[in-house]
Amino acid sequence: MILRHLKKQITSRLPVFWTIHQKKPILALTAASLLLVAFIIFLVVSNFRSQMALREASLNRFRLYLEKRATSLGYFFSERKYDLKMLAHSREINNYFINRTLGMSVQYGLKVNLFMIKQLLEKTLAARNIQGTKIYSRFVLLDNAGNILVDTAGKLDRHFAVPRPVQGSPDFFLTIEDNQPQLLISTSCSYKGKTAGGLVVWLNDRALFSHFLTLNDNNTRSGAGVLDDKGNTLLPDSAAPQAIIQQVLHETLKKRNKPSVFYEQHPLGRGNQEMLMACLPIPNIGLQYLAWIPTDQITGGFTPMRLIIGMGALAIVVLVALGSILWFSAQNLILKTRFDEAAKQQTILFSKNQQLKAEIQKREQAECELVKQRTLRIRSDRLRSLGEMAAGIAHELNQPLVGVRGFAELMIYALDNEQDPSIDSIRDYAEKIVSQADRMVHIINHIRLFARDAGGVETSVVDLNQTADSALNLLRAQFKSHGLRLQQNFSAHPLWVKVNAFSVEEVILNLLSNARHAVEQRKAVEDKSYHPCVRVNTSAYCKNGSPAIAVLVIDDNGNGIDQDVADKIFDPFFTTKAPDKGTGLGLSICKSIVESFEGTIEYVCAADEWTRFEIRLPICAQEG
Amino acid sequence: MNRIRQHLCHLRTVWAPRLSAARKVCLLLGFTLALNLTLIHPPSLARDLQDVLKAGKLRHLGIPYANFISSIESGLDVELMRKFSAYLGVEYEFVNSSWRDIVADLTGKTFQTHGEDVILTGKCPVQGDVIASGFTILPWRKKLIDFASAYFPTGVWLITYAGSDLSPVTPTGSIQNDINAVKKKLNGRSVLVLEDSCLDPSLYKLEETGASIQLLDPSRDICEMIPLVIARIVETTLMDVPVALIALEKWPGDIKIVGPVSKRQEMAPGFSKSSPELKAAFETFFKRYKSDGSYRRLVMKYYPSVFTYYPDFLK
Amino acid sequence: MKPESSLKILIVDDETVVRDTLTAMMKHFGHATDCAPDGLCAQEIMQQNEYDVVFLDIRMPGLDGITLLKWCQEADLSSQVIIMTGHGEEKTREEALQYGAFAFLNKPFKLNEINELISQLKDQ
Repeated sequence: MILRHLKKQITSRLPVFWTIHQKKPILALTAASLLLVAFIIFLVVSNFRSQMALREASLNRFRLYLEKRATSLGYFFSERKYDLKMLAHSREINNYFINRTLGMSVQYGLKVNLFMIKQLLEKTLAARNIQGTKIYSRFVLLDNAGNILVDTAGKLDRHFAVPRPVQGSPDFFLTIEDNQPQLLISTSCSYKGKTAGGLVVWLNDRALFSHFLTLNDNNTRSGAGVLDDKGNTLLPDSAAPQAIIQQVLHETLKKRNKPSVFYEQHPLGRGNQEMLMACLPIPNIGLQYLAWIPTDQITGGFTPMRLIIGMGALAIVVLVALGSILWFSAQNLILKTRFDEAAKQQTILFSKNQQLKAEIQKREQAECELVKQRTLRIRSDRLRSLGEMAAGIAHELNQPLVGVRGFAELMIYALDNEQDPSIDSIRDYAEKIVSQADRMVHIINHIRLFARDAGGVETSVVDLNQTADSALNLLRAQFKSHGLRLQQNFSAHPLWVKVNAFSVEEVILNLLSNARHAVEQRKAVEDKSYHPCVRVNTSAYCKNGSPAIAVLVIDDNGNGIDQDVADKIFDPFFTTKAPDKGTGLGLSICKSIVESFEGTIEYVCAADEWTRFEIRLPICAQEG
Repeated sequence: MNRIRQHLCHLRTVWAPRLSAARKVCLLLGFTLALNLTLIHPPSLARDLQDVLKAGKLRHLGIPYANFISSIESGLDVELMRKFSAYLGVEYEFVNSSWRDIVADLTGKTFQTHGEDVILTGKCPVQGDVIASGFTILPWRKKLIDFASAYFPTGVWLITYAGSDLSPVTPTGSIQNDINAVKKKLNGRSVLVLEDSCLDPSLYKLEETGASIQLLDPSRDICEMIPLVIARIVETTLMDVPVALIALEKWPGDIKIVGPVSKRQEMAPGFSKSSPELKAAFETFFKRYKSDGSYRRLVMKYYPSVFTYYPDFLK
Repeated sequence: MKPESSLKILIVDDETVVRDTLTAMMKHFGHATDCAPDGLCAQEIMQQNEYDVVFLDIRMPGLDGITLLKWCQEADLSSQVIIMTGHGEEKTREEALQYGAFAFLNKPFKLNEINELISQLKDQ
């Protein structure tokens, strides 16, 4: 199930890997997953089995250990029995009995025997030890009546009730003295084949416990002790809590009739610990070795069930981890490819950006160039126009000069070479000279106008309507006297332009005079139904996005402008008028004036219709 | 019985030559002294402390006796005297003597006793400076020598062989009663005694008991007394308590104690009446020796069982 | 001075003063003059009459001087053309001479120059 889910996850998340050979990776993945699962199961099972085997081995080991202990206890007790037997048959005791049988009293004679016996017993007491701990704690010699003859503990006055030992063999007893259980060995002392008394030894339970009974660990929950047939016990007083001991006893007493070792696993009260309890008979001694230990000391903390569950959980965790690793790496790959693409896109974008920047730069450069070129061109235009103008001026001045010089020379010739020069012809020559000189003055005046125009001119914000109005006022009377109609149509709102008012007036005047000239010419050839008319209009024009423009239109219904001269009319010194009517400076000056105020001047002409001159000037915000 | 024979042999081989040699020396010295006495020198007296110091030697008179003097180097009294001579800063010399002569060897005066009376009979050379030999303080002895402070408890018991039909007395709690009971039992029995010692029968009025008193042959030693009883050569013997205690250990099942013959007695070292400074020196020495527990150790070494019988000893 | 022969002269110039001045000069020398204000007019007149000398201004509205000169050359007229101009460019001068102009005059003229030219023409 997990495998299918995994497979689904992988196939759904890795479209990137979908190549022509679709089946192969899936198969391989499936096989790998199966193998992995099988391997994990195998691991779990084998681990479990080995754990169980370990448990068994541990238990066995523990059992063997306990048996060994029981055996060593048996040896120890055998040694003690032998000791006691030897002591019981010692010379000193025997001497005592001899002397006693002889009838000697304690006062006279037996005392020394008792003293020697005591010495012997004390020596034994001191001599017998294991690693510094005494094996015996007390010896007592009794007579048949139970009176204490010798007591190494010195409690001679007490009557000691010790169970009569069976003839010949030392016996082990468990009694309780002063609320303390004690292990005793007692044997009979015989003299001449009859029981003459008894020798009892107390075993030092500290030695017993520390060297034989207590299990080799520092665990306070484990412990061992000795049990006899009657249910008396010798148990460590400090180690195990009473509850455990009672339960242990209860359990073992139930089973004490069993001849062999038994192990009982029993959950105990506090903390619900499972305890392993053992009760082994100590060989050749009528006692049993009792031991208990928490099960987890032997078999480890995990029950088999928990082990399986744990391993299973671990396996699941491992698989889940694997699955998530795969999933994550798939995600990673996808992300990575996207990232690479994004990076590529970014580089492309970047290069495009660079291109754009370069182009922008080039365009800016081109614009700069353009501006420069325009400035240069304007300047060159200016220079050219200047040149042209100069050429024009030269040409224009040249003509009247022909007349001046020619007539002057003729005068001189006449005066020199004629006997009778005609005064009238000389006068006529002189008048012609003066007239040409006047013409030159006129030309020069116009040039001066032009020159004045070239210098810095002051501008101010004026209402175009007012400037047009003042220009019209100058000519209104003149037009009327010549029978010419002069119409004006100004815009309702003021048209604020930043210009020199006088210059603009002159331009308007120039245009009006041209218009007058045109209509007068036409009037000369037309009949009475022709009404010469000159119109002046002002308006504001605003296209979306471009700044507002003031438009001044002067149109006339005169004879118009011929097509073949149309493009020359703004050239300096171009004129269609008769030589004495105009010098041709007017329109060029007008154009230059208008353009210096950042305006334009154009004309539209259709033959037999209105001839129209348009002046456009940028409207500026009113100042002041 | 083998053991008895061995012991007797030991006695004979070790001590007998010394005894005879000592006797020879004694005689010779006696002769010289007698000559000296009659001719030039004034009668010689027992030496006091200064003489001992000048001589650089302490002569210890003793009789091989149980654990008091068991050899020339061991024995309660031997060790005690050795220590005393070391304390004085002099050499130690053991002078073997006998029960009969030991007092005369110390005092230089021969004597005869009759019960508690003493009669000086003559002079003899002084052989030693101090007697320390498990020497019981007896009235007649007190008349002749000065005893130092008592240093060992004792008493006299009656001992018989194990197979004897004499049964031990039952202690009554009063020692006098016990003594009387013992004396009653002695009627018609033979009892071995040693004259001039603490086992002298006259001390205990044994002649009144009706027992047949056998005097130990002078050639025999005190330590042979009990073996003689075991050998049933005599029926009973007197013996003092320390020795009896040892004998009980040595011959278990061969002897039995019948009962007391004397009340509590004391032993002490003896000094000549003309050696008060020596005695005083010994007292000083012994006081210290006792107070630091050394004496108790010494006693424990040789007579460990004495404390069971005499619980108040050295308390 | 009385001229021995009188030439027929045509003066072509759009400027009135120039025509008047030259006409006065020619009259003085006793030659007959005709004027034309522009090239077209001149063409018409020259087609109708024959002239000996033509004073031709370069710069004229309509048919300009050089074109007229070429026409004269093509028409193979017997007139001698004298070119007049206000600016004395070498190029114009060469061009004019190339197209058969007799002489080149700069305005303003000098009387003795004109005199000389006429004399030269007369000799021919």
